[in-house]
Amino acid sequence: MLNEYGLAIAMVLALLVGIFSGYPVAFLLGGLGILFAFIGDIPIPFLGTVGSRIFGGVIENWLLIAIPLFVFMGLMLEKSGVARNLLLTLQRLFGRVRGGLAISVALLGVVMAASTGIIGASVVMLGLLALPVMMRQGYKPEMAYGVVAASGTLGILIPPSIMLVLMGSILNISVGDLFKAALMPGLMLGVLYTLYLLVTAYIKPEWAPLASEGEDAHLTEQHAPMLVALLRDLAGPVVLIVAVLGSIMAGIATPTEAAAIGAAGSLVLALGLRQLNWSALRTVCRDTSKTSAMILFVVIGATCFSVVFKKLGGDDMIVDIITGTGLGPYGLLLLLMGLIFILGFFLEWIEISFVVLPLLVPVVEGLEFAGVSSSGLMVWFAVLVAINLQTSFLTPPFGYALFYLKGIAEGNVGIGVIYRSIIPFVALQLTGLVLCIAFPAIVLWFPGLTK
Amino acid sequence: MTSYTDSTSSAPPPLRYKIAHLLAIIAFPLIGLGRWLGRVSSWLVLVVMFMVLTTVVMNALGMNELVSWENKIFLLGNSITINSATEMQWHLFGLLTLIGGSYALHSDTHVRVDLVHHHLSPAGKHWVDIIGHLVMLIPFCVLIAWLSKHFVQMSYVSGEQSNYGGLTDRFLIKAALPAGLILLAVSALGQVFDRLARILDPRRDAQENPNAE
Repeated sequence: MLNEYGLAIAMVLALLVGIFSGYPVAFLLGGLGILFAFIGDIPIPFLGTVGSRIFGGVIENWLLIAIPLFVFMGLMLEKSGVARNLLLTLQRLFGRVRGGLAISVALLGVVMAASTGIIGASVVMLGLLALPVMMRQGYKPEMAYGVVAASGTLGILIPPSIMLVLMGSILNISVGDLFKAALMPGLMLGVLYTLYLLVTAYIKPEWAPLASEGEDAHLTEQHAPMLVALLRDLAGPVVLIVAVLGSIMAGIATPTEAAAIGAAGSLVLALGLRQLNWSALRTVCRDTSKTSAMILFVVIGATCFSVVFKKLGGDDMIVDIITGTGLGPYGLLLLLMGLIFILGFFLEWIEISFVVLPLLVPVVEGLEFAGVSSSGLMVWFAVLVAINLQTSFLTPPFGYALFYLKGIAEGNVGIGVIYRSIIPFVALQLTGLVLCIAFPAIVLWFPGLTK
Repeated sequence: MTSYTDSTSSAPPPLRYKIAHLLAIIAFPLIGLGRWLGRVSSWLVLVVMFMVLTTVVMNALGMNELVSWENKIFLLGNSITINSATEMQWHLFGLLTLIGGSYALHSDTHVRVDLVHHHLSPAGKHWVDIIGHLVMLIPFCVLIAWLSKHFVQMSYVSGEQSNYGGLTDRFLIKAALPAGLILLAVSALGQVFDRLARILDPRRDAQENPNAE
């Protein structure tokens, strides 16, 4: 095997070494493609197809236009203070329930992180927004940090998630179906989080004090009447998210159209709050451009890497190795899930979706699972990968949502506290993943793809 | 030998700083170009949004043609239809992405796995960028850009245009791919000079953040 696949193996090793040097992954993928094309004596004109593939796969890809638009929407909601107001109002709404603030944070995470898409960015955003409020109210760090990390990453699963848009494009499945399929598992995880928070707050009241017991008690008095606050802060974002999701799921709008409506809606909400000024708009546009280019350049680099990797026999090698294990469908599924879980320690979902997922597709395609129709197989697999990746980002000691959280932690909160805070959530995630594997209907019922 | 190093740290030879200064001067316009284009092109996201909304409205109203005229003009042909607006979306999206790549390079937004990188000295981080740019990024950009020449030429010679009565002159957006990659190579070259200057004269790292807005 070493003779046959020597260069493909070397390419993977070179990628691993390069990734740990800290050089941007997008450029590494492109560069290694070129380098190994020379080493493997691949005729230069063959590389010419890379250019036309990039053109067809990225620039001419109408679906991907949704990415900058969703990023714009998320950043606009954050920068204009819509997200902050939403948190304050949710806090008032649930203020009388023990653990209510934590539940508000989880809800905000679900609504907001959906549109930002980048794990690091959404965890940092949610952390900066929610941690100070929770700390002032006297929440135990063991509770607060876990909520922020878990809800900040839940956004990659709950639609409208950029990751699902990209997976739809890679796996050639309808983004509307994927959104529908991810909704139930996402909500299920949200419910599991909420139950955990309520139970913990009931057993250990000192972990989750009420607003009236903390320093922020005066804030509840200063605000506008409840009904006005609800209409102003909650109705806007909720209508926006429902309109965006609803139109995609109902098949009225394509993801790109819905994203444009969402982006315009976020502008309107910011205008309504009188928070839309020149410099805010400029910052949002600039950050949107950088973030979406960052995502799409991984696609561009991965295009070059995969073309060469395939030419060197890499695809066959992966299929050989995986089928060579002689495992049954469920054994293979667990193997693939384990592989993706470990890769999630080091890589963002962007690289995993673009480099790893296409390699695994041929392996998965032939498998049969109880309760999964052939048309639903890829949809189910994509959602399992999404839940798995989210869990991987949260799992100590490498889960890198945790490193971002440590970066913005106040005072002397150690990484140990963050690890302890996240472990219950990892357990909930794994429960959710197992449920979705055992009962595919959780995923496939809503898009109507059950057998 | 030891005395030599000691003397360099107390009174550094001016030559080293002069070279650093020269490198920084070369880097300045190369980096400035990508950053300036990136700032300007970032507004395109608003235009893309507007274009998508336009097609949504035209679709809802059942309109096909917005305006038409007698003589063919550049890119648009002789009318603006719903298909011109649709294709304009991905034309602009392509520009936004391709120029954004260089912009993200200058603001260090591209994903790095920083488990090890995080612990490197400033000079170590600079070397990672220099070697990576010279061995990985610049060869990739230059080669793919050069190989795309053929596919742009074909499009130009055959007068390729939309199959659905949309935009004409398809070679323009095809040429944007090699142009964007060359811009990225130029930006990377600028960073190589800039990082070399910072290694030679570490005071530059303290003066300014290499990745300001």
